[in-house]
Amino acid sequence: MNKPFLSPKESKEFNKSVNSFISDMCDQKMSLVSSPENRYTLHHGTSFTFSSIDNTESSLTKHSITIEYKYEDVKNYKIEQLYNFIDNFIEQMSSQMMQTIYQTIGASCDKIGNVIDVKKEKISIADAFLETLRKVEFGVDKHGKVTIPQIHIHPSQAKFIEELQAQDETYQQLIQDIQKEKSEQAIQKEKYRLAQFEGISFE
Amino acid sequence: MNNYLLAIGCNEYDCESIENLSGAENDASNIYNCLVESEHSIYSQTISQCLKSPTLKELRDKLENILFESTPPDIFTLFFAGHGGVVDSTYYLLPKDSKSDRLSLSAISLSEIFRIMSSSDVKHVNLVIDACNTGGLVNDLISIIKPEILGKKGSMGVSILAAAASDESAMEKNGEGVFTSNLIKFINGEKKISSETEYLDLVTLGKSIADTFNTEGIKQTSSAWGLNLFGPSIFAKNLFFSTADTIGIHNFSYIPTMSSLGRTLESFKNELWKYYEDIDTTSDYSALLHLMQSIFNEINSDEKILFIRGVCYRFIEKIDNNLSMKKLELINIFQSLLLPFLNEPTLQDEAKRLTDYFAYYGHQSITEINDNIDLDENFLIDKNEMHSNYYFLPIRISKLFALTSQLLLINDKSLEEVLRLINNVKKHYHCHFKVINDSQAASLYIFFKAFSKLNLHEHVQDIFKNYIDDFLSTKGNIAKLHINPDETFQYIFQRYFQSDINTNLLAIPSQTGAVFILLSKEYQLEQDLNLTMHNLDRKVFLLFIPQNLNNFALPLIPEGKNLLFHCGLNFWKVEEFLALYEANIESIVDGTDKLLEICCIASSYIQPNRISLMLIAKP
Repeated sequence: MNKPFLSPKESKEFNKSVNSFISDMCDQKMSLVSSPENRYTLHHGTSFTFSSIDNTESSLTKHSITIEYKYEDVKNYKIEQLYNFIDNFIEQMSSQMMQTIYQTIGASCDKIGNVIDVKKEKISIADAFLETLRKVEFGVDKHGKVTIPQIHIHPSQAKFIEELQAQDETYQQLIQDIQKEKSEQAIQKEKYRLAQFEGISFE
Repeated sequence: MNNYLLAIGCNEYDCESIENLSGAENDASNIYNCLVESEHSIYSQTISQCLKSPTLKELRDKLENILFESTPPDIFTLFFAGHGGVVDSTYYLLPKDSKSDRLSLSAISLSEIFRIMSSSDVKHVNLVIDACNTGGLVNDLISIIKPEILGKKGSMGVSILAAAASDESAMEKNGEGVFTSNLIKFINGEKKISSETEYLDLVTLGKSIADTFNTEGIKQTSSAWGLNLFGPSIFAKNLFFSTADTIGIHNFSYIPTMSSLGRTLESFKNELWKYYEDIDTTSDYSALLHLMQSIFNEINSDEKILFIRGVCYRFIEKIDNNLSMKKLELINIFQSLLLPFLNEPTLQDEAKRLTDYFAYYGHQSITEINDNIDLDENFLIDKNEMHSNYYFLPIRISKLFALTSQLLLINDKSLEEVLRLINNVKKHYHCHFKVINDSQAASLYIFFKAFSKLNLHEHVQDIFKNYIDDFLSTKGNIAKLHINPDETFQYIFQRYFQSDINTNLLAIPSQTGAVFILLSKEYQLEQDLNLTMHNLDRKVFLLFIPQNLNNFALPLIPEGKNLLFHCGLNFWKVEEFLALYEANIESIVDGTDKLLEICCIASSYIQPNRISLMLIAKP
């Protein structure tokens, strides 16, 4: 027997709204680590290459999660389960994606050698941070403004921040000097990059 | 249709030996109201008549008036309720002044009625008689079963419904004939026969009334006869007729329901019907293609051919001739459908046949559009939804360009009309050479690449420049392929009236930029573009290189490479872009297989999330 009084079209729209909401929330979470301009939509295939001369091909990573939804909960109108579903989905999906991002960045850094091993090099956190700052490149956004790198730290590493904040004025000045130098380098690099366009010239 | 009813009910009889009746006039009135006065009437209200207890002369005069002094009817229905009887093997209808001892002089025989009708131009006659012994009229049928009356081309069809057998009386109850009151219940919807046919006919009604009499124990046998039923044997509208209940695959195809293909199509019929019914207004062609691909997955090669011929061509026929461009779009769907099967000779032939149709309808369409623009320079504007033109008209013009160039690639017989169209559009719509949505990449690539391939650059060079200039002016910020309909206005508003466009409306990466840069050298615009390339700084462009062209029509092509070009990061000039591109296109075949090329273009047109790069000859 068919279930009575179903409204398939409207029910589909409701579920679509839920999915849309989840998608928007995931986007918001992801925007903490990557800007919308850096999120691409591809229509076909499972690999891509950033057409550089070395033609390195990267594959898309599949993310999936499993969430249980009980008929019992629906029958008993446990509306909090809807909230839990949404919350768990967003949490797990964005967590997986962030993990992938960190793994990818980590792998790239390992490949180039952009790694500072505190234990191996037997240096303090403060000194390691200075070394990090010296190694990274600052960027310049589309408005010509220098972009300072973000620091992403796991909550268990809170002592990292404490130790930096505990450093003396000489250390803080050193950080500012490196930032200034890096900013100037970023601007120079950006000038050089833009100068490769035929339509731009710098006097 | 000109349909007339003459309803006669005779209660009063002058002759003492003929008993008066009580229900005949009611029957005639009720039939008249039911068939003529109702909102579902198929009969003319001005010509149709109801006669109550007429004399013989009045009856004959009325017959003459209806059959010979009005526009000849398509359907003529004669209803008689009153006394009837057989004399000397002839059945007579008795009007008011009938004399029982001389019916041959004072009544009208069915033979005479048949002769009168056959000499008029009526196409079909319905005869309903609620009188005693009507089964006896069988004898009179012989008078019309002659080659000079029936059987010739254009001769009338006859349906007869009789209330009672030749040895039965026709009963009355509560002032109405039992037969007529049952007949009226089927006509006015109180009782249902079926919902499959739009009209009721007397033969079907006769069977239903007989079944009712049987079920209800009414001791009266109604009978029905049909002769020469090759025309419309329509009696009344079937109030239960509904297309929703009765969609069969025959509604949208030439496929027999009981055939193997027919049985497969049964499970798809509702979806196919939905597209068929709305084919004039639908614009979601990729969804129709995907539906048909699902069907193709379930049928063998022979059935695929039957499907093309029995379903696809039916869809093409359905399209209004004023919308001939839509026929071209449909043909593109079917060519995309056949793309994976071009190595099978019979399906290849079907694809070739479709190409011929494309050429035929294409030439027709373009000529019509040109003529219409000559009459009305605003012809291409959607006058019903004026504001939407700012978004949709540029996209529609791109599609027009794509279809015209597809036509030229098939053959150049339409070159003159195509060039005339190009000039018309340049003259009146050059302000719409704008890139609004990334879907235009596919259409514009087909257009400009085809003209380049045919060495006709000079006709469209200025158009290409206009498009590039527009693209640069937006800094490559064009709407994404699958933008929601309710976001299209937002895009236009933000593009033209605000300083920034919301990123979630934009194509990231976009195919359009890649297409323009790719073609710029062929149109000798690479130097101009190099000087303005910085306007596209930080923009990412996309080209998908399929690994296997047989999959080019799939909704999602599984194998291939996505090439991402980052302006200002890995290229700054056209030459650098081309170098990156050429390092990756070894898998693209050159354009020597024309049919494959046409089908790939068709697929790209219907599903603009892929560019038909195979139009390029390998370097």
